[in-house]
Amino acid sequence: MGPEESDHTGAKAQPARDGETSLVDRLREGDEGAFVELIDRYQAPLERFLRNYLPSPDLAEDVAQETWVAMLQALPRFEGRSSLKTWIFRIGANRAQARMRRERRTLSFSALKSAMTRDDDESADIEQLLPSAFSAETGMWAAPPARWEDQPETKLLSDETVRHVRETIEQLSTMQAAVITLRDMEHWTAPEVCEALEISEANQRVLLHRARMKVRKALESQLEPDAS
Amino acid sequence: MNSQMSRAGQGFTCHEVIRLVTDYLDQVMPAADRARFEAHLQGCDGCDGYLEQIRTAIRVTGHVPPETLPPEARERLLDAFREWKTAEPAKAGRNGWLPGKLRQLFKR
Repeated sequence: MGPEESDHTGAKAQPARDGETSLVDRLREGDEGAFVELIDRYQAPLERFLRNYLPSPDLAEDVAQETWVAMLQALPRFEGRSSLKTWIFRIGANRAQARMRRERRTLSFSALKSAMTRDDDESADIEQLLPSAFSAETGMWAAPPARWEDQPETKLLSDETVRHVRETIEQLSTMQAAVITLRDMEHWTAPEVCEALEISEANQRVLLHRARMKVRKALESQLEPDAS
Repeated sequence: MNSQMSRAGQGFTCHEVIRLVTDYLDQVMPAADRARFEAHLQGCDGCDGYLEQIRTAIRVTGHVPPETLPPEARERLLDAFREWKTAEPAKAGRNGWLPGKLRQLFKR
């Protein structure tokens, strides 16, 4: 049993909410309905989240199952200091990292290379992520950026655009992808993300900022193919 | 463009606004900075448009559909839960103890 299964946390705790407390009580009593409620609510988001750490959907599903088992085993020691949701995802993140350390010994060279590239990109040049209409040299806008919010919904939220965004997020570093997945896909709050990922608020914001800049840049090439 | 004005006065430059967009959206700026940020937006179409682009990016990201859980995966999880439940939950937290179905899950 690793320390990750304790729900003691250095981050500003988001204590378990009332609804969650009764869910935990029901789980401890072995109420299957409570477990069903939990997996219906969190299994799909958990798998999507774990995909940021792991190179294949099969591995993500595997680690998700491992996470549930670890959660059930650690349940007697859950004290409600963090929310049940962030606790589950924290167990998942730790399990996924442990799994990757093991997998790295056996992964093929190309899979390994792709995993390393993802981890490596924190140093990417921020200037390249600036809007094409902005001149870093003069610090001024050459032209105001296009008003995307005026574009028809059908274009903004088309399958093609959304897929392009998803693929962009898949190329981000693990931590950037994990943060933007929880913040902008699952609509978690910043303190929830800090608690699940065990990172500071400042670090969370830097990761989110860079991730959003990259998604914005990707949208620019999608919505304004003639820009840049 | 008003970036000239920003540099001359006490306001933020366009560069600073671009850098602080996430702080602004997360509402973690001190009130005085927030006011300067908003004053800049008022007079700068470029940065105002940029902020809207970031908001659009957030919105599109929110539309990435979640994966769906195959029924057999759900069934496997429920089997594991039933096994955990019948095997005395009180023991469940002890190190090294795992019922058969859970052990199989780890092996998969």
